[in-house]
Amino acid sequence: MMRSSTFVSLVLVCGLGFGLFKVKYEVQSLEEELAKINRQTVTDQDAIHVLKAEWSYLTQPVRIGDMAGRHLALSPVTSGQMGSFDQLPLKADRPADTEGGDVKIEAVLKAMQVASKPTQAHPTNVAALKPGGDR
Amino acid sequence: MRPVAPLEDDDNPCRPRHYKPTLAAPSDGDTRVNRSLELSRNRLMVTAGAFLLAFGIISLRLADVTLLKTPDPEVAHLGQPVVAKPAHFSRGDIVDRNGVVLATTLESSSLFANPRTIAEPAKLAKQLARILPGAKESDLYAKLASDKSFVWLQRRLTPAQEHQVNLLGVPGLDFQREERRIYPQGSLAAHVVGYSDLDGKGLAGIERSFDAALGQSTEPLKLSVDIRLQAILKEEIQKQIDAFTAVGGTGIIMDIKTGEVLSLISLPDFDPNDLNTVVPETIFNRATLGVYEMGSVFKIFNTALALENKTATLSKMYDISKPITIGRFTIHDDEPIHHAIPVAQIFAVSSNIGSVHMVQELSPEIQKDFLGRLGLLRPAQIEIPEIGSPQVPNPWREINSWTIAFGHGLSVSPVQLAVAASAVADGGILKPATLIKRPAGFQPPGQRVLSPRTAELMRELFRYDVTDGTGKKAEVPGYLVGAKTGTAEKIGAHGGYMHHGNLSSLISFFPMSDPQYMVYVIIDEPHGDRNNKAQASYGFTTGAWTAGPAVQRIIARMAPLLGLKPIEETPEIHRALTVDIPGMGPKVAAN
Repeated sequence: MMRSSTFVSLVLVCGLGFGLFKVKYEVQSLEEELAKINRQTVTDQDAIHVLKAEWSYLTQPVRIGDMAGRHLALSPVTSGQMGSFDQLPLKADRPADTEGGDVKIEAVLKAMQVASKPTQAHPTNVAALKPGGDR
Repeated sequence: MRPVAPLEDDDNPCRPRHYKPTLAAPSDGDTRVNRSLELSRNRLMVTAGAFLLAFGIISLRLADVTLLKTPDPEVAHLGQPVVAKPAHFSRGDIVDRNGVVLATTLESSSLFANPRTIAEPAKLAKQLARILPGAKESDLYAKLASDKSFVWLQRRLTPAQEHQVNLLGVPGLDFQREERRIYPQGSLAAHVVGYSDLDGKGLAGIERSFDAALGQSTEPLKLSVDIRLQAILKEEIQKQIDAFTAVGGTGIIMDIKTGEVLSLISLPDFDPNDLNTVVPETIFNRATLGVYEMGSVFKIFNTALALENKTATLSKMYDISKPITIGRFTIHDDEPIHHAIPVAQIFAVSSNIGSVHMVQELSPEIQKDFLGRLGLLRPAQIEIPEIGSPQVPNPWREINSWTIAFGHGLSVSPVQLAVAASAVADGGILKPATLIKRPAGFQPPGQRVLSPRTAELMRELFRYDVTDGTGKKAEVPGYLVGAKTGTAEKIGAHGGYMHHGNLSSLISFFPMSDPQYMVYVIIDEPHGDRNNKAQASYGFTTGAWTAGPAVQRIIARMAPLLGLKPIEETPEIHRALTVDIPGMGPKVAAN
């Protein structure tokens, strides 16, 4: 009886000792990893901070405008291009020539114009809205 | 023969395995032995008990500490994972209403050396001069060859320069971390954001007024300005300044429902990143610090005053055929009309004579009180320190009252005028202007300065000025723009008005059916030139011809940007915004 309990205790002591040792080292390595991640986080936050400033610098409206003018075939949106879903034609109003085939975008745009025209007291003169347009 | 003593247990090698000796009655000799055995057992028990007690206490305490007790915060954090601290800078960022960075603090390094440990100063000076474009080789050599133990070589290196210096691998060179305030949008928001000195102390604008708050906060400060509108406003004003070779200009875009200033421009401006550009001419904030006689835009207040006091109606006629002479002054109109016209037309053609006739029916005290309530007699309330005090005539005589009726004799800053005119356009409620973004749905505290009925009539007049008056140039189809022009003669260096030095402005609101935005542009001293195609003004330098086209282009560009759909001018809206005067104009007849 005494001998077997001594034996069990010995095994327990060894096991616990080993377990403690293992856990301790595991914690230590996890802590090292955490510290490393924390350092990385701070470095990344620093980098994000710098990148935000750089983003703001690179997206200066004037600069973007210049580049868009040079490289894109786009111009600023004018009020004539603003619309809403109400202006889209319903299926019933769809022009007859699109039946059975794909809806032609020109036909839809035409229908939109027709839909929006009669209510407009002053038709929008797109040319007058262009910057530099001479009235 | 002596009886053989019973063998002790273990003495008998042949005893059976389970032999138990019968207990003999204790003999005399045994009692002594037994007593000492008893004693030692007792001692053993006491010691064991003591140990048991100690271990018991320890295990109880262990259970208490680990399971039952809530740990001390001081001790508890030892076991908790460490949270990464964000990079800390001594000054918070400033961002625009959409979060675009306008001012931020970045780390930069300054290079210093210990000349005593530098072996080959000549070679090093040559290498450094190649890396640092701002430094002269001879200066660097002089520093490196000196026998000090510390010299600054260059402040605020770029990361690329720092990397190159590190690549040299020369001992004796080292870096000192420093902070640097950066304004990524350059001059675009210069007069709003302001600037700070090398030590990060705010010297102007928001940087100065929020100096302490920026020093404590890590959260960015969100301004009400929109950098995209800043770009539009600046570009369009600059275009007019260039075309008319004007000395400067200023402009404000405001959300009049919340009082938020969406854009504020003063030209010429400066680059806060380059303190060499900060000179008195550029740092001067024309929008808030400059006070000017604003000219005809003051007829907004004059007309509202007459309507509010019921001394006039939109259709009341005034004879404006004769100039008004008082002492050595003569008040006349630029384009004289030789008959009587109604109030609405006095507003639309901007008649000085008519305006004076209107104010003559009121006492100067009533006028002064009204302008005071509109905030035109006290410095503007806005969050930057560059605030100009209005120049108010004292005493406020009848002659002052007459000239103030058409905007001369009382100097105010553009931001003061913008706030007051917005109150007139937006239902007669004065709201303070702000440069700080308001939370969504914020209702600014308002102060009623006009009755709703007068404000409604004023909206009609603003619209009438664009459809039939001097403000035609500001019309943008679909946005129901309302406006008032102003052209003031500036006071020259030797006193007296300059005949060719105008302050030309146009203030506009849209959409007039329910005004939401105010756009105000002032061009300072435009010079007319008939042959200049860029002007397209036949040599005129009035507000209508200089500021008008700029306002028109600004509205046309900003409305789609803000997602404002064009408004259909339904007959109801048209009627609501049309000045109703019997027998006047084809517009009225058409309805």
